[in-house]
Amino acid sequence: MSPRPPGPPARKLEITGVGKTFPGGRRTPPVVALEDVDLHVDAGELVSLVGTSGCGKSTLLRIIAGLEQPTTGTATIDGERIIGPGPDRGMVFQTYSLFPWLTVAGNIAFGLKLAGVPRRKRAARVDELLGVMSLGDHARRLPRELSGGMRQRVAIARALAPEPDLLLLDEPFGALDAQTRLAMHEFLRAVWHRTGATILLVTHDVDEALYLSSRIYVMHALPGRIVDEVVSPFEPGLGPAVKRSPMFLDLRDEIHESLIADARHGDPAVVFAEAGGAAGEGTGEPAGAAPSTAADAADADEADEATADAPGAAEGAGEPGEAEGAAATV
Amino acid sequence: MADDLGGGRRRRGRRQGRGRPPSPLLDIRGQLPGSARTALGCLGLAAVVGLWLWASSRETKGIVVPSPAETFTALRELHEDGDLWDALEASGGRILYGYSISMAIGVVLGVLMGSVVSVEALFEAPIGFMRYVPAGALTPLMILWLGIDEAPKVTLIVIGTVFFNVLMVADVARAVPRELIEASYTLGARRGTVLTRIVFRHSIPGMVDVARINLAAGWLMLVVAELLAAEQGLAVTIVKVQRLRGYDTMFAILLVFGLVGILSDLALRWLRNASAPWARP
Repeated sequence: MSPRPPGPPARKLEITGVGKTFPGGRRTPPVVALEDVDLHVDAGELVSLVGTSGCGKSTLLRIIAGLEQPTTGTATIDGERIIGPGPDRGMVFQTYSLFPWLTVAGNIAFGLKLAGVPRRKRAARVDELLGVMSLGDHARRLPRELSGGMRQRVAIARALAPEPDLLLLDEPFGALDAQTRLAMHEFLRAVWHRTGATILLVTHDVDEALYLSSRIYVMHALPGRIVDEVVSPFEPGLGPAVKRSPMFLDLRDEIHESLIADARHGDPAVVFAEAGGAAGEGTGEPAGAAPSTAADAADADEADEATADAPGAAEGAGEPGEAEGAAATV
Repeated sequence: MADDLGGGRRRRGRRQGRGRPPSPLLDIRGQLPGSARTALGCLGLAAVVGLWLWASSRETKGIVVPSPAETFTALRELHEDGDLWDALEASGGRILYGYSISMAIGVVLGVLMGSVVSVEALFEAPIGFMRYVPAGALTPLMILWLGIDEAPKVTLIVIGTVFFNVLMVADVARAVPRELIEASYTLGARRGTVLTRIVFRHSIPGMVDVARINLAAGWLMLVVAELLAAEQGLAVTIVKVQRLRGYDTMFAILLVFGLVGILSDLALRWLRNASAPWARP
């Protein structure tokens, strides 16, 4: 089954001028989480929203899911306004969202049961999804008996079971270890190709977004807004080797630079990340070697923290211990 | 160089090497070997029995402590007369009746208060107030209103426990992960479904724990109620033998209270684990 049927793509999701302001408390000012966001997702597309923590990307996803109400603007799906949550928009959370008392099969069947799907048909659909998700041997197990990667596969299967118009993924692989995350990327691509689902993925992992999606919206924080839209130049079927192509690396650096520029506002730690981390990202040099200036300015602990906290620096930069070592030699 | 720093504090005779060595007995959240656990448990029990034996062997003016042997003889007599079982039946029935009502209210109102903000806002103030009115202080009022039959006793057990049950069940319901509730909304669940199939379901083991913890308060209220007016019951038996200076019988009943408490505790622990294998530690 092809994810993109021939002919002009149908507009699935349309977001127009959406803003969200969280009211402040007695001592805290109101927070503008989103301001004037426009975006769309066509049928069969896999679109990503990337941004640093706190840029409002999850809030936007929750508005689409109907779990939050926008302060301004509208969100429509197939032309109908979203006013609350419903089974037409399946959602996968980062963690802890499986029903712990239900087996894998029970979790996947939950939405079908609510929809009143008869037992025989339900069982068939669950079996089908267990197959798609390579979970066949684990149907009778409880979530606590599964690995993190398996749990997220069950969560995706559960969200797909009622055949939603749109699948919303909120940093679904963020809590997984790096190896499992890579395996899950291949897995999500396979699911997308097999089911032709329309998917909106929220992530802070630029590689993930670039590798998986046909389009990427880049978000900046405070107020949360979309600053860039990147259309993937890669064929959807290309394997992991594409991640080493110059075009991929260039695009990745471009998005990283944009995100680091955004993070620089209001966070002095990022200045350090820029000196070492960002340069390291582009050239492949370990970051720990570069920033003697930072080691001069800050003591070892602070430098350590800066490396660990800087968004996007985690992959390119060296271990926090390296920075500590560099500082200690001064 | 290191003498004036941490290294200087290292005591002689300790195991050589760096870091704080583990202590099997004193480690915080450590792993106690099974044999040590049994030994310490027996030691604690033996200490109590030893203290009892010592106290009963002394003759202090006015303070008479029956020996364990005398107590067990009294217990056997209570058993043979059938008095023990009559009293247990009367007291246990009151507890079962009153505490069931209390838990039923606690579960319904607690789950609602822990889930629905308007219900919480509505009940928070009155329950917070009632919780601080000592239920024992209501005993005379209950007798005036409801007579001296079973009604005032059962009511006292309900009043003495229901507010704790409601508030603690509400806390349990509040601890249901938000993601579970939101996930079920995105799977098509309505509010009522979320309450029964998610919040209630997830709260079951926690609610059994609440029932177990507050049951002690139920026994407390039972005794308060029985001491004032009752014809049969465990506390009544204690009052009855007071005039005869039946120290041994009193001790026998106290023993029964403790045993019934431990048994109900074990039963509810088992129920919690059986009802929610998914939540077992």
